[in-house]
Amino acid sequence: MIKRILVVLGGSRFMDSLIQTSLFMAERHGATLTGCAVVDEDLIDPGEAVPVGGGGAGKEAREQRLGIARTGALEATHRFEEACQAKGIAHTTEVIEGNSIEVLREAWRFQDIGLIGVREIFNYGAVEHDPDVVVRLINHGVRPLIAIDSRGTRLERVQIAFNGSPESCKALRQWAMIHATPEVSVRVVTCGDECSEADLEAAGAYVRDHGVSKVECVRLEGSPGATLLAEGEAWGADLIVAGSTGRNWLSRMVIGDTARELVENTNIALFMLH
Amino acid sequence: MSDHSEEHGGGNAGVIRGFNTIGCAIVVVLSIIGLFFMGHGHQEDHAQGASDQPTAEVVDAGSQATPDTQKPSEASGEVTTKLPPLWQLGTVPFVLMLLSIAILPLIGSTHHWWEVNRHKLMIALILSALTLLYYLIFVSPSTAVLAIEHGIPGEYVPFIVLLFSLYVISGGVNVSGDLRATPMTNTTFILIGTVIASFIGTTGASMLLIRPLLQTNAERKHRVHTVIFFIFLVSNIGGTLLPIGDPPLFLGYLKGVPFLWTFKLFIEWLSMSIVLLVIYFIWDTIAYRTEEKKDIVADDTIRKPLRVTGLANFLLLGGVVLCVALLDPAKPIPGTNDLHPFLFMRELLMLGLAGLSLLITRTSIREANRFNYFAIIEVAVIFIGIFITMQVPLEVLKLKGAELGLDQPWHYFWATGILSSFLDNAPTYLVFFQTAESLTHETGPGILTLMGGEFIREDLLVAISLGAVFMGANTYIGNGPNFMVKAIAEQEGVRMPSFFGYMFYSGLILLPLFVIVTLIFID
Repeated sequence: MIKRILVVLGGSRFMDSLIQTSLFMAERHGATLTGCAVVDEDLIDPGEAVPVGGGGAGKEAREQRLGIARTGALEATHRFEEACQAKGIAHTTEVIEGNSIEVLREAWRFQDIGLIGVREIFNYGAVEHDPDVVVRLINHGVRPLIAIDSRGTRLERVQIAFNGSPESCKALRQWAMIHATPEVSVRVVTCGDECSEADLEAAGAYVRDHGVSKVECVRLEGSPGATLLAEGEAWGADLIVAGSTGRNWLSRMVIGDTARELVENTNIALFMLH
Repeated sequence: MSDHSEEHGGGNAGVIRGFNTIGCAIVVVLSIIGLFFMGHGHQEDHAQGASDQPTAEVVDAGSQATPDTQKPSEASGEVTTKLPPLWQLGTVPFVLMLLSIAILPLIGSTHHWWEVNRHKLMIALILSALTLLYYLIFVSPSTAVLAIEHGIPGEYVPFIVLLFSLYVISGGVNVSGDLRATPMTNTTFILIGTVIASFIGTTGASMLLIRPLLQTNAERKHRVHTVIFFIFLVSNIGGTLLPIGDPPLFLGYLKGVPFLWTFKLFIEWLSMSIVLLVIYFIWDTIAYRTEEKKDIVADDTIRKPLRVTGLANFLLLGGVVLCVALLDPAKPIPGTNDLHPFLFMRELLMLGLAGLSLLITRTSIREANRFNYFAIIEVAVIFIGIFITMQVPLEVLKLKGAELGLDQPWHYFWATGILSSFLDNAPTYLVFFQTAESLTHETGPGILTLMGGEFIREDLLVAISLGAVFMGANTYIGNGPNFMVKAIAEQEGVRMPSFFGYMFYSGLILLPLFVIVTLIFID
């Protein structure tokens, strides 16, 4: 059951689909939305090498970028508020200046799930997107989250990436507990011989036990990241569920390669858990 | 330096008037400094001081003994200088100065702090004080005074006065307009910038032309390559032909390289310019064909004739060129037998021209150029530190430079170039200039005689000059105007590549050309 959803208003081309999805989820679960825009000066205004005599020009450009980001953050919250008011969804909004990771970790503490644009987060058109931001958010414990692509989605066709690891099991369980509904179609997918047939069937059974009737289990060949994305596209998935695949202490510290590849390349919404 | 001078990018006439007042105040202060130093020497001193390093003691020629064992050797009749004791320690402030410039803007906790010119001045003064302290403790008080005299009136004042004059006067010319952004128009813009850069400086040419070029291309989607080639040519390579074009060449002039010597680089300048302009034209022609039709239609519709205001400043710029060309205190004024300009006459006249520019230029022109003093103050405060702290390294290079193993022109071209890509090219030029000087001790064919009876091989000087000027284009930080152009382009909505993204372009386009330059002209 989802009662509180944090909507990360990144101000990008993903904003519209993000807001649509959040409204849909709020309606379905009767949840309250919290819209959060962050002006992260470190992201907008990273230190950069400056030649002698270029400091003034650099400062001017950075001030302009910060101005764009502040304006973008305000616009993003206004759009979100208007959409919530139009649907009559309970909501709050805030614009915070600070380190985006810290701000979101703080805001996430009393939320059930977060929705975020899969790319171009918090740059508000001011700078090039740093593709590592979403990955860093996940690494820093801001999860579970759904990273939304540019298509508005009702999240009804769900592809669950499963390799038998504790992380993928945890992602599957978490998704099933908070989002499994009878109208959802689920495909549990594994690549190569990462998990046994029995484990794959057990994963499917677990999802069925959470009230999902349309469940199929599929074994694919190929490298996990690219295969999951290609198969998700072909099947028409609205959402890919993935956990980090770290198997030792070091890899558990950072998001797995497959999850990173998904974040960087997906055109499908991602449910991420690390 | 007032707080007001830290402001920049303002847009109203009051701010510009304030800037002009500050500019006049700076002119007065620099003039007073010039007059003050006039009382401390005469032209012969100046000529000598411009080439001699601070420590000048008589020792055995070629001695590699430790300082304690080195004794004057008047009997031998050989006169040379000795390495200052613990010279490694003496070079630390210079290294710290360069590291401060390179690293402080990158560190999250210091990059805002470093933005303030007052803080840069503080670092420059502290490191200068350390250098002087080194001289006081390990050499002698008189050497410390000599270091100041050599660094400040000898090099810093002429250097900064030239930059200041060019900055103020070129900031009084405004070019505006929105032409059809065809490949021919863009190429012509860059060509004009490449030609005038040698006469008004790469910074002046860049600031003059980048805004109308961006305005002209405002309706086009593909603009990044135009800005990149503009940086290559106008902000760097264009400034090859005169000491006014690029600061390192002016330092060479101060060391005694004749004013028109840089015209010897004409073929290299012409070859690089033609090749790059042809590449650009082809690139832009392809890019133009991929523009969307609606953008081309919009570009055809939105037009504004080209308009140049503040034209009188071109006369003043011509005056600066003449001052530099004719008023070398070490030489008689051309057309006279033995009439030397008095010390700092050149600088005072250039300041006068800058002051005149401030008086006669309409405020609206500087406002349109977003003119302010931040950049020139930044250069002024940092170079105080550079010129003082580099005295020890220059001195060491003068004595030990020959041991570095750099003796081929291509060594100098690439060493100067690679360092100029990442460090300021002015001190880099001086470092390799001094190293090259250390190789030659007598005149002969292909040897240039410098001030104070020093010599330099012309083939090495060509390599150093080309390396410093051409390879400044390799990165955004290779030359001041590179970064200014990038910042202005970004403000106008051009998504410029990252630091390494830009290097991809320069690596792809410039490095192969530099290899060809090496094969044809350097080696």
